[in-house]
Amino acid sequence: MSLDGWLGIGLRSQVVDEAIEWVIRLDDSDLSDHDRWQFFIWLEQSPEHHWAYEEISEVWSKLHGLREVAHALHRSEVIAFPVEPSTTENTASVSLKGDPFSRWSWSAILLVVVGMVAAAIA
Amino acid sequence: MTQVDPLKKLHFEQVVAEHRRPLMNALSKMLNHSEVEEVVQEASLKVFLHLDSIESTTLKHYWFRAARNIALTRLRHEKVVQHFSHDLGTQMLDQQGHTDLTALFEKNETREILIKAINRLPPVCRNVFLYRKIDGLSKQHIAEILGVSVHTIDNHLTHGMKLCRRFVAEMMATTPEAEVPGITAEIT
Repeated sequence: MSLDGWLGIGLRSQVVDEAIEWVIRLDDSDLSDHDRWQFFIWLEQSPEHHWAYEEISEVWSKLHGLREVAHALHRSEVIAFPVEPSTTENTASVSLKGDPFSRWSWSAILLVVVGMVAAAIA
Repeated sequence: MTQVDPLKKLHFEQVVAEHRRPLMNALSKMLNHSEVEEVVQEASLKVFLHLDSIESTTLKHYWFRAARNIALTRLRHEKVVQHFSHDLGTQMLDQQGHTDLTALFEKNETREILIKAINRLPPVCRNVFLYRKIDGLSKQHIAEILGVSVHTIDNHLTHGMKLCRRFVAEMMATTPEAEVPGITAEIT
């Protein structure tokens, strides 16, 4: 793996930055027809764009090679943004497991119903 | 010598006529005017000699690539000549062993620099980078893990690549042992 591709030797920084943006957008994505046209319009503007895109896409692809040294790369503990739990799951967890008051409430209601049925039979 | 397909020859002539000027403009950012002329000539000859084995649809791309490679070779040659001109002839190294060692050093040094570059990325940006390039997760999957949009993942990856590139460029411009406080301060 050479570092030359990262440098974009002789290419303007702005062009290399634009190439990075396109490589990332095209990676693992379904672009709309409009975006694809935009990409080809950009690509055809200059040989510089061809070179920058080609070299950055190669660099991007070769980064997989760092898997061999994954142990040397620092991972940080990222806490995901909390997602609101679904309503049914919330209700179930509260009524059956969570709040003891709710369990007693259900028991009380059940006793009242049983009492009413017994009174009716008697 | 094999006969060149006249249609393909015509097509290449059209490509040259249409794109010669933009190619020269792009090359002039790397080389002086006389060298630009030479590189375009050399690249055109190279394509012409391989015309039969190149698809018509990729002629322009092949020609651009040939010109870029020739230009880069010239730039590297100039750099090497400048670097070694003062002690040429003073050392006789075993050529094969020297080449192997150089390749090994380059590979390790490249990895070292890239590891440093990635480890200096902001935490979330770095994690997105590692999820995609080391773990191979899809962008959609990463977005779900972090509870953000795919567009945000794209922004992190783009930002990460730009910062890594700047770090690599600054490392290449300094001695291998040198730290780059400016970049470190900006990234963290």
